[in-house]
Amino acid sequence: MTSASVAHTLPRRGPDPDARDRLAALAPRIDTGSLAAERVVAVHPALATVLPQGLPRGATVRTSGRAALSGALLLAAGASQAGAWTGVAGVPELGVQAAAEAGLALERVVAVRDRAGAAFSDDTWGQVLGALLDGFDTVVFGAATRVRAGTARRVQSRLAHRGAVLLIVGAAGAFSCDVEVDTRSTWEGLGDGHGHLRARRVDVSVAGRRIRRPRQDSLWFPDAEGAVRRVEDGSANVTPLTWRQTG
Amino acid sequence: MAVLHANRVVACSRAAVAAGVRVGHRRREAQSRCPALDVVAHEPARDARAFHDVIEAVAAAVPRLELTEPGVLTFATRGPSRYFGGDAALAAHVRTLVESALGTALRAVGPVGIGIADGRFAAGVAAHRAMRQAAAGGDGWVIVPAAGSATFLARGSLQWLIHVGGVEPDLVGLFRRLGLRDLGALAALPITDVLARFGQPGVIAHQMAAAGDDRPPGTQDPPEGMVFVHHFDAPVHHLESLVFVGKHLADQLASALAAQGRVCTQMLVTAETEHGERTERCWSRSTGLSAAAMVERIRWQLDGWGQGITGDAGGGAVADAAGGEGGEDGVVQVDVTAGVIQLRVEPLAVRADEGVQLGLWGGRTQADEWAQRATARLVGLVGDPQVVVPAWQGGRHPDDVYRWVSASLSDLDDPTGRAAPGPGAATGPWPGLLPAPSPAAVYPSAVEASVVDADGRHVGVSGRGVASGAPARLRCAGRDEEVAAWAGPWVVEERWWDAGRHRRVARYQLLTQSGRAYLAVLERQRWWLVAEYA
Repeated sequence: MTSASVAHTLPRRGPDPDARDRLAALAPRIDTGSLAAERVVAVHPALATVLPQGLPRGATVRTSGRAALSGALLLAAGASQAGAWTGVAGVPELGVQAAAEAGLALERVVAVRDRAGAAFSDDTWGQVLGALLDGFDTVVFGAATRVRAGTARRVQSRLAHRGAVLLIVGAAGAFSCDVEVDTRSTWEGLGDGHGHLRARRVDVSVAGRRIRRPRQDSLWFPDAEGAVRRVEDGSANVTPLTWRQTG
Repeated sequence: MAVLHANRVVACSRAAVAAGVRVGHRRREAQSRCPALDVVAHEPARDARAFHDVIEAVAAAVPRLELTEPGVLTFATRGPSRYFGGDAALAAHVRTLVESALGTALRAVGPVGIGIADGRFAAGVAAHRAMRQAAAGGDGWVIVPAAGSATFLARGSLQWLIHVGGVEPDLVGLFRRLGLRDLGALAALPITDVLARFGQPGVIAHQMAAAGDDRPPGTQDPPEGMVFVHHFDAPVHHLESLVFVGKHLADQLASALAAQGRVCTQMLVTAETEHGERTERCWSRSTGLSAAAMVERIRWQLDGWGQGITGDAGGGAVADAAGGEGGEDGVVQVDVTAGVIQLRVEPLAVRADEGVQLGLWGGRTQADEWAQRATARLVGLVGDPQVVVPAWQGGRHPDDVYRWVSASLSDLDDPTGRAAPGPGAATGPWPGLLPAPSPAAVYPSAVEASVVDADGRHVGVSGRGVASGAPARLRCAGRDEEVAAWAGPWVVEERWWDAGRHRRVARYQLLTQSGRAYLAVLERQRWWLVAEYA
């Protein structure tokens, strides 16, 4: 790039006072062009204690437990916020609003779903996953049990080559998982005929062969204000709510 | 009222201007000047629908209208002004037409300005001047004598290039830093030097400043045989099916032009119904219309025209939203009485395709490019309706707020049409919406369940919204669980005016002993699980 063209795209001091903020906001977007060279995908800051290095590229990650689906969305949110695209396949029940609340940038979400009454064959799923992994940095997949072992192997070798992250929701089927994320959730705010679901405490444990050592942490996902954050020691939720221990 | 896009005001009403709000302000800046400011999100499709009446009115008097963007109409005046007896008479006539079409909305949008000059840009500047004069009590039109446009523009500010010409603000900023004070100074530069230094965008700006932009530089008449027509065997009433055919035509046109290394900068879309009603619009975009951009414009045009074209599930929502908005202004118009039998897409001007430079500083990135290629491949693999992207539509139920639209029918580069209105704008219209957090799993089809109270009796809700008992057990799909906590009933009654789509449900949140949280509804005394907070 010549200096002339930089000069006309980069705002100078005078006309644009928030140039610095804009540059800072753009920095992660510039990164996405060269992400293939890096070996990890960024995760949401609340997950920094359980995944301090981020998600390893080329990995198959499985989420399980009560918050399996929203957990997968939260894992995809970090990359999505940084400008990556998210592919969703085999999750016909995806709640779009919940995805937005978990932090996915909806303008960069593309979903593939089966025809009603005519489910995709094993072969079609293989091709769909192949195409998704070629173009998307994170792929959320919810129909792993419908893919045969041979197809799963082919998909995973392509995944390792391309450097995307495959997030499997629920049962892993024939896929061999590099990272296992288990969730246990406790809801708050609902009483006996009063209140409404307001906050959820999710205990996350991360293990697997591409994780140096297993880690656990608790998150408010979401807290009473709708934010996702760690449960800090000693501090309960900010607003007094009726407690109900379940699950 | 102000319209915001990417946190910047892109348009505002006269009242907002009077309070000190200006185009280009950030949200907070605008709200500090005018705390009562009503902020709405930028939504081109809505603007296109609102502008529809004006287009119809002017189209009755003048042929071949060209719609640059909603709010701006351009047409060639030579023929019409001879017919009406001079430029001033034409301007007066058009002004009356537009004002009567706007009706009560006129007060909000401010006076109409009409400019007549050589070239689009000069006419645009003249129209803006006319608008200001009209606000100060003038007659609302500015007529620049033939061949006088360059002189008319010479003293004008470079700012016009951004507001009227659509030139990149960065480029105009650079002009200013280089010492060019007005349009005359830019026009005085030798065009070869401008081309060498700033490339094609510089030449476009130069031609505008010199009033030589009768047609955008580098455009040519399209080659012969590029008209793509589809005759329907049976009249089509569904907007979605029409748009699908439109997509097919747009793809054919784009690929036929691409084979010659060209891109369409101006296209004419015509649709005709069985009863001979027709809509004909010209759409232009100086950077070229991609197939996706063409499809969006076809959708805007048909959506605005055919309030009478009703859709199925998806199309109905579109017509519904349009009707809702029209209702506010009192301009619901049904001007289509039959199904569409012919759809035609024709290029009016083309130019060489120079490709799109990937942005290093934001804009389009490599990731966007890859994802869009993968999306195109997916559509080829599994078909159009199976590859979808979310689009906001608003609603009270978790599956209503967003709907899925076919990815090949939306412009993935420009998500403004699909995005939810920003915070502050969305608070009004959906009373009864359940508060966040939203359920992560919304079942594609609801699961029938049974909910009983402590005595084993069915829990029902009366017409007055009173529950017969407290839910104690939930039985569903072979599971029988104790209800640990619950809240409800939240009764919502929708579309009571429409017998076919009337819906009255009572909603409950149920938390079972095992820790699963469900959203359940009671409709006609039957229980359904509609979503799980997974």
